[in-house]
Amino acid sequence: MAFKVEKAVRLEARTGALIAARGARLAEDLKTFDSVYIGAEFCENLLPAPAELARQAGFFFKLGKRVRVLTPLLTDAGLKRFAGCLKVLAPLARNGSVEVTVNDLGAAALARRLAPGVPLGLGRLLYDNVFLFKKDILRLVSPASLAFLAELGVRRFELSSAGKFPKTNFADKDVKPLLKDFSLSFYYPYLNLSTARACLTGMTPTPAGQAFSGVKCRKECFVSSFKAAHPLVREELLVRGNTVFLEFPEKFYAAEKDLEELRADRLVYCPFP
Amino acid sequence: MKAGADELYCAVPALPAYGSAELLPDKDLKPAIKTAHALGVKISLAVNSMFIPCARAGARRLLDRLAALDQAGLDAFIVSSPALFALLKERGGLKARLHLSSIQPCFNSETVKLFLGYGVTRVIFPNQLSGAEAAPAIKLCRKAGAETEIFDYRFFGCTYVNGRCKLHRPNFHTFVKVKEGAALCRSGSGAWRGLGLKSFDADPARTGELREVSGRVAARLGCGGPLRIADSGAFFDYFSAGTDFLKYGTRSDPSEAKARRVAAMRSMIAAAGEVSAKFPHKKARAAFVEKMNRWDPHGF
Repeated sequence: MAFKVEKAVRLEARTGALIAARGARLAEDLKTFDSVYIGAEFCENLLPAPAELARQAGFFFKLGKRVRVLTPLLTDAGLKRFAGCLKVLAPLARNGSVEVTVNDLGAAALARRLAPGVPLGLGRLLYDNVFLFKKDILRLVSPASLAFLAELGVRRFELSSAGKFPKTNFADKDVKPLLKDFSLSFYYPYLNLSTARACLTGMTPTPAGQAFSGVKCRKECFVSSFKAAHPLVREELLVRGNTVFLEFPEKFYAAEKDLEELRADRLVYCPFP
Repeated sequence: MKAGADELYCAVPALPAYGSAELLPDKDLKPAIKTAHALGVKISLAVNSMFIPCARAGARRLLDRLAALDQAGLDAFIVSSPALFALLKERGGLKARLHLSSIQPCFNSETVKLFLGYGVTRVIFPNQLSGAEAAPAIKLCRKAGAETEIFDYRFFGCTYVNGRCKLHRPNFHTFVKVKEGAALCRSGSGAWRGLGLKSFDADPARTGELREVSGRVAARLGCGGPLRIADSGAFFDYFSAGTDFLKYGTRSDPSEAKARRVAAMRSMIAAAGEVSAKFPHKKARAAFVEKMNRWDPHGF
């Protein structure tokens, strides 16, 4: 079968607002994309309620798009919501129409149990479990992890582009057969450097003399994103919500067929960090 | 030990561990095991690197070395990589217990269940999870007979998620001064002057909040991290939920500093016990927080 690259766009937690603002005009905005990433990648406070997730998925199905659902690190409270999401997603998952990307191994285990038919990807917070990834290096370092993750139903690994085509060990004779059942996605142009549980933009400081009493989220991440020139770092840092990013706008491959070497059959464009 | 530690843990450069290992060459660990046991305490070894050798031969060598330490009486291995959990499960037969490292951060009960299936007997919670949030996972551990552990919030801990942070290792960015850069994400590591912040992609409907949010980002990105979840209240919630162990997490500190801090940890545990025995939960928590607010970090 000819190698084909899926073109995806990550709307993530802004999906609901974009649907409300653009409505049917989103069809034109998204015409070059095969699939849409919804959900929340880094913060459980932004994970939509199951009914809202189903509504968003239905909207994109009508536009002929496949749906990829991002999920963040989850506490037990977040897992409860995710379990509800899986219940609405499971019946919609036919012929690759729905996929879930997890950033929490417990979430992967839950998805495996509650929605075994929904394909699972391992998100950008978890690739260290399998790969050593630096600017221009991407190596499978922990092959035994593949069996662990395959048992959880994971078939895809998701990473960010670092602006360069990475040198890999994927063609090595002891590595190639191990990766044959897995695919990779590359997000661009933003690479996530670090994520906090507590927000950089939100959560007012604990008053003096008191102790932390829980997350009070007012969705300050939607107020603005930020570019930061840090005196210790040469590159510009970007901040959105609880995550710090770098931007790599450079195209990292010459032609799509080059991506086959990376087992990268999906590119995920992120219009915002 | 005199300061009140019940257990010791260490890492060795010859085995894959996160962070800089305390300087015990592999051949010297066996006497350390004997010494610890002679003192009546357990000793654990951190082999919690995420990067486990790729080639089968490398993995086999690693397992053989762990097996030798197991034979020598090591009490527990602290593990983070699914690869090592899978390899140890396949090999089987270790007497030593397995602790889930906070480098593989456990935020929920499903993660507990998953790793219990790989033989984990203790879960070390990351300090980005509050005691109240961890309560269901602690309950599950207790039901399954597994132990739980947290770090002392005063002496250890980054606010970014353990094992997922790329700020302090310049894999994708470059530091102006490498030594200082390595402390970029450490809480309280210093106030970096001259942070230039520009808003983009702002919501026109929320411009009224922009100044406050900008100030917060500048302070948190410039001073070593977002709001801390681990604090006295979080500790008390963990304590009340029945957490079994409190850990001092900075292996590279000098022994005198470790001893002082272990004594402080003992005092904190005792204080939590005293207020819990005296007051109902809510009042006890408030009393404990008030007491810890008066704790003087000077000299630690």
